[in-house]
Amino acid sequence: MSIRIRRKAILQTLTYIAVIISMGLLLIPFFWMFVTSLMREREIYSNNYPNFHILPQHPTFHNYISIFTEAQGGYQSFVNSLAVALPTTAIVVVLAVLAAYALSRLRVKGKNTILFTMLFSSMVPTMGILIPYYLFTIKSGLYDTKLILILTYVAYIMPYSVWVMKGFFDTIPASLEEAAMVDGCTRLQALYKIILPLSLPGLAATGIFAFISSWNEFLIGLVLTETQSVTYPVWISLFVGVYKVAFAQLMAAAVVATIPVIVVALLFQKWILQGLIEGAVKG
Amino acid sequence: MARESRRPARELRQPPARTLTRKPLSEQAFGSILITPAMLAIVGLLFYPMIYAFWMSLNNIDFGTGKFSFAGLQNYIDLFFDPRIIKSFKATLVFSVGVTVITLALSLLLALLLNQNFKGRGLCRALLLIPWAVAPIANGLMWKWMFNPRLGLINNLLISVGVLDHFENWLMKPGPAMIAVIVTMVYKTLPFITLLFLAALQSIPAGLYEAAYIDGAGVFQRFWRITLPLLRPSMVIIKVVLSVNTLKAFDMIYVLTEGGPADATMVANYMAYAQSFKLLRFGYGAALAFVISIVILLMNLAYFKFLYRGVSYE
Repeated sequence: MSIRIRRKAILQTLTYIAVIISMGLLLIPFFWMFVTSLMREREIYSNNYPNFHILPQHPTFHNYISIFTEAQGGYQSFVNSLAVALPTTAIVVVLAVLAAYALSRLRVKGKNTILFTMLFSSMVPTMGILIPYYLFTIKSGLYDTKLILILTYVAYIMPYSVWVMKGFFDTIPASLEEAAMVDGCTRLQALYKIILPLSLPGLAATGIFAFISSWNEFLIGLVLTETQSVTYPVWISLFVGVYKVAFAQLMAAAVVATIPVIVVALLFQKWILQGLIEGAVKG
Repeated sequence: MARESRRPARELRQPPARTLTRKPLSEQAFGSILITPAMLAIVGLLFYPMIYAFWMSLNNIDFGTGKFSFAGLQNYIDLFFDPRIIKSFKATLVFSVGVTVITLALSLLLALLLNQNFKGRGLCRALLLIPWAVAPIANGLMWKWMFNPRLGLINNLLISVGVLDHFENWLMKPGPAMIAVIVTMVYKTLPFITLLFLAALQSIPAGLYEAAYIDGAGVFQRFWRITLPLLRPSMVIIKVVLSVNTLKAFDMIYVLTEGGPADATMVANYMAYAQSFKLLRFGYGAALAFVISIVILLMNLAYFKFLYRGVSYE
């Protein structure tokens, strides 16, 4: 008996050690990025072996302020990214809900064809369509506008969102809305009053997915923008070229790119896990 | 044909039976209205450009005038005789297999660990979301800084511990650059795959383990005989997700190495970008992008075939 208890204690201790090591390895790069962003450039350039230290000697938020005030285009690109990501999210959620509702509940001709089209287009890699986009935007004058970014992102995120939302609607029994319609609700009212509140997790997952995807998107922004509509990730990548050596500022900029996503991720943790995993496993 | 169409036309002219109440939309019409906007976006902005990209790949396109001249499959034939492209296919293979194998092994280990009963399990899962949330571009920059020769954490730590005796210039040498790119990608992919494994592990009924325990099966036996076989379905899905993601990798290579040094980390997807937007060979770039797209589509189809074996979409 006592041997078993002792074995259990040893096992428990080993588990904790393994957890601490693996979590440490996982978080160190992020921690190092954050810590660097609190240093002055001067401190960074003397920080190497044998005088290497990890914690900043005089931590400062100077870099965070300077990327928005001094660095050219920093503030503007941050605003651009929000101005692209928020409308994209709203449009995707509304359109995906409507389409998914119809695909889940109504008798529509060619439903399988539509679903297959969605599936197929969700697999198209960005690079596969970027060249026509580039030529089209140059010709039509949409190059370097937020509008083309929003349109592209909406199209890009739509198939997956419809797919996930349809999955959620499928799990809600149709009898609920039928009852509501017997009581005099129209179909849209039933959708709005009965189905949507019940599929809040799916709605949140879709919205979060849409926001994160458009916030993080890099390749399309890189090719289709130049000055006015440069998004934040693209601005950071240009920043590398211009200030090749300002690592502290660069890390501050990178942390800023990550903050909205981390805030969203931690706030909606449960829904993200549920939505992402079900999306990936169920398709 | 003409005679048949006359009859419904006459019927239409008759007044509708119920004139006072507005006739409700048919289910079909209502459904179509709901679906149309989403489908318009998808067909117009994804499907059509995809087909147009294929058409471009069959042409040589003059950058200055934008004139197309039909070239048939010439671009595709050229691809497979271009030593730079062949080299990029090889780099893609090394990168893709490297990331897939390492991520699979590490995330399975981590998932097994996080599936144990211990205090703070919830916190660990929340922490797992942090590397997942790091924007791809930020992830690339973060690792560029980690791998910095004189000032980066990796070299300074390895030298302090005594593993390295000099400041290694990771991103400037072919082999180490590939390692750096793989590490960066694994870091970004690992959390999500771990969560997928965790979900799969939790769907294994605990009763199986108890029965095996009573029958005297040890830890490793239980892993080989129960856990691994039951994980196989998720394993297929995860492998496909990983290979597709590695084929699409772009952002981190753009910030870390730009495909260098000497094309050592020039994966096919980055090569398609370089051909199209740096060398401005649109037709050629489109052909390469199309080849990548086809590979990704085939992998995805295998994935869905696996998921929906014999099941209709409804």
